[in-house]
Amino acid sequence: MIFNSIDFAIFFPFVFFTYWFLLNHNLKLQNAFIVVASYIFYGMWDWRFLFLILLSTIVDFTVGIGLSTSFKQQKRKIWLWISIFVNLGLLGFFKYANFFIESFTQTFSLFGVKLAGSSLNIILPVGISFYTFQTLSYSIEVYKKKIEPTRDFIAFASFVSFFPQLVAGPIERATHLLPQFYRKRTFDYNQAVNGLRQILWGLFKKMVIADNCATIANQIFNHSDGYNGSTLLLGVFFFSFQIYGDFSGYSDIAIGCSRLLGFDLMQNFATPYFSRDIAEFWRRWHISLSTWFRDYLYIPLGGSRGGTWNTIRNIFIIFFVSGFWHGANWTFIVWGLIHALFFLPLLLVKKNRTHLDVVAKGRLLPTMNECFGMLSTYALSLFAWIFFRAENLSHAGNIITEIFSPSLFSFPQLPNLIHVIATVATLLFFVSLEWLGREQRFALERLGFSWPTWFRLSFYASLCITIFLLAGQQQAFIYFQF
Amino acid sequence: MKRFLKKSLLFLICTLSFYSLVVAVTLTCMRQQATAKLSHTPANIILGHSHPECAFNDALIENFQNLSASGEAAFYTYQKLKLILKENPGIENVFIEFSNNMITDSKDLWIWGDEKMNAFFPQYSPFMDTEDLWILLKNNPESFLFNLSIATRIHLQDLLLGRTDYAHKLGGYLPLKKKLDLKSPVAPEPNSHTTQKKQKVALSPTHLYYTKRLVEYCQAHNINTYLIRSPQHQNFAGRENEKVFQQQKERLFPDVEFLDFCNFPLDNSEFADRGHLNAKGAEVFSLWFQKLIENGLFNEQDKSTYIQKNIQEMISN
Repeated sequence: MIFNSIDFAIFFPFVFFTYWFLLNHNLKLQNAFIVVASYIFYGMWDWRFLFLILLSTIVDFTVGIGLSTSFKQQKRKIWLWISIFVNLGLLGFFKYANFFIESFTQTFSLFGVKLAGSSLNIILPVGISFYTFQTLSYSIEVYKKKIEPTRDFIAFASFVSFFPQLVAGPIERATHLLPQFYRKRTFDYNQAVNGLRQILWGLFKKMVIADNCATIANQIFNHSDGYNGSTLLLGVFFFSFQIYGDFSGYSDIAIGCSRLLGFDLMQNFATPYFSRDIAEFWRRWHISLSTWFRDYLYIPLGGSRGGTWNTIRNIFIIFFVSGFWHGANWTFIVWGLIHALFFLPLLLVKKNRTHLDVVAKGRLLPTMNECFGMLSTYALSLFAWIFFRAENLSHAGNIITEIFSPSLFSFPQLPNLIHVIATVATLLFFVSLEWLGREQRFALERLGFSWPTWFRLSFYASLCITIFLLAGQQQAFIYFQF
Repeated sequence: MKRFLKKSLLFLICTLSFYSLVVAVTLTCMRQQATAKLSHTPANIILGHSHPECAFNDALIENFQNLSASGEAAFYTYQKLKLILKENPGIENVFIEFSNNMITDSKDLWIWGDEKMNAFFPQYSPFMDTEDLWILLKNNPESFLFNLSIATRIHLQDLLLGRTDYAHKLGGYLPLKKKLDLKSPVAPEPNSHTTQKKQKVALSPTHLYYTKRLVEYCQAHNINTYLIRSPQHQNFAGRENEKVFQQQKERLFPDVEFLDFCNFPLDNSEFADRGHLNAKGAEVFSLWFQKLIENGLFNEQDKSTYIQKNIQEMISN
């Protein structure tokens, strides 16, 4: 079930009413209902993979109990490794088995040795990268004694399978989300309205921005051989907004739905394309994953404490793993490593924490310096997106060669000029609203609070109608494949 | 909670009402302003899917226009017909393709499958009535709602730019260059559960119903209507359901003349594949058909027998 579907439009109101009207007086029943609803939500893709969620839930619940009853460090470590082994094992098998088999046979073939390795027919379970990381965070936090292990299996199962963020995040921390399942939730009018606003903005991002950009980007990337450099650059430009609209739109809908059910999820995107350097970009892009890697990989590896070489090594490791997390393809790994290269100079000159606040805070317009910073950071991210979107490394290589050729200065061969112009106009509107709302958690959070109510509501209604009328061809959420 | 529900419901109702108004006004305006004046004002037109589209080269047939379109179900042809007859009162004869592959349940997807709805719904939505819209909504709500948005967007744009002429969007003769590959497998009709022995065919009641509505609409406007079957290769897989096809023809159209060209003799080199003629085949067939009209096809009492006689003569020559 996807958020922008009729199924979900029926499913969610049903869940909402049952949750608040029938089960409001019993927290345990509310949690149990969340588990059932989440399993239905997930089972509508493929019910066979429900057992993986259940397995992950049982293992980490047991690990938590085991950690609470073990006092010897050695034994505690064993419990933690069980969780790591099971969760990463599931991820490794379902997501990376074919990649390793293929890479292995290809490596041997380079030396003239032909291995009869055939890839396995494995289906990638939707959202496996998200929920395994989330459950893993629980075991790690319990191991670090930052959270008390839970003995409430239903609450834990709801934490693992909570449907708004089950398949594409935000990847929540047990310390933040799990306690919310213990507390009685009360309906808060302002929170609910805020949730609706965030869902509206998420749907706009996904259906109007991402899906329309996807049509153009797919056309250009799928037939890249026939296009000149300027068209390919446009393709990358549209892809950058496709992936941002798609993923941040999904996160907004997830956060908004959760808010309607009385939960508070972490912010996953904070206008990353307004970043003034790559370090800031990574503090604003897929925040839940970046902080996960920071806390559970970078810092345990020593972070920036063990000298220059260790820092460089650690940076490359987290960007490598981050790229690999996105998919079993060398293109994602190169994408991660390119970002490591962009990030490293800032770290070495200790300028990676220069821009901690939002750009032009308290001002309407940025300075020239800030403009330059934003444009150059966006240009660097565009370059890296080529690898992310390309089918393979040679495809990416061909696109880059064509972009950096004289054909960059020729007129773009636009596939459907009217659609491109309409999409650019929509993007201008979108970027303007994002700019105005950059100090908030999402663009509409406080936008128009000073306007007359009728005008603000008309604005929301016109956004709804824009979604109806300008929605692009429905595309699957990109991050479902990760 | 009550306040929240009351306010959100009110907002939702207002927004949806306004959206419905935009959709209804746009489609009604397009329905009223759409024109489809055919340039040659022909007395004879042919409608159907890709078989007649590739078989009738209307440049070689006098007073005749091919308005068939690849993959077009009778459901959409019916909307097209309403527009054409309204705009072209000079039309006297309408030929409607009715062939073996048009009765099977695979044609359901030609009506409400995502691909066909994307291709045909936006264009013909202004001419659909409530019953037509309900069929689509009932069978594929997701695609219907999505395409309703697309249709509204396209028609709004067209109305604003004054692009209301449908004449060039109605289909036409499609010349194919390729030649039949005899090694290509004789593929069974997709989704049809046919077996040669028992002739169990899953039918598409909706498609048959709309074929019938096409005929009835023409008859209600006093236009001569003929069902035709375009030439096919003798090994065309779709023919497997011949018995059921004939039964359906007799059941639904006992009074409509059926002009059957499926055995029209053509060389393998004159086929693009087993279901379609290529340009060479279309030329041979269209010239023969023109001659048939010149020789008084429309004056014949029993046109089916007259055609079969002519085909037999051609085979024996």
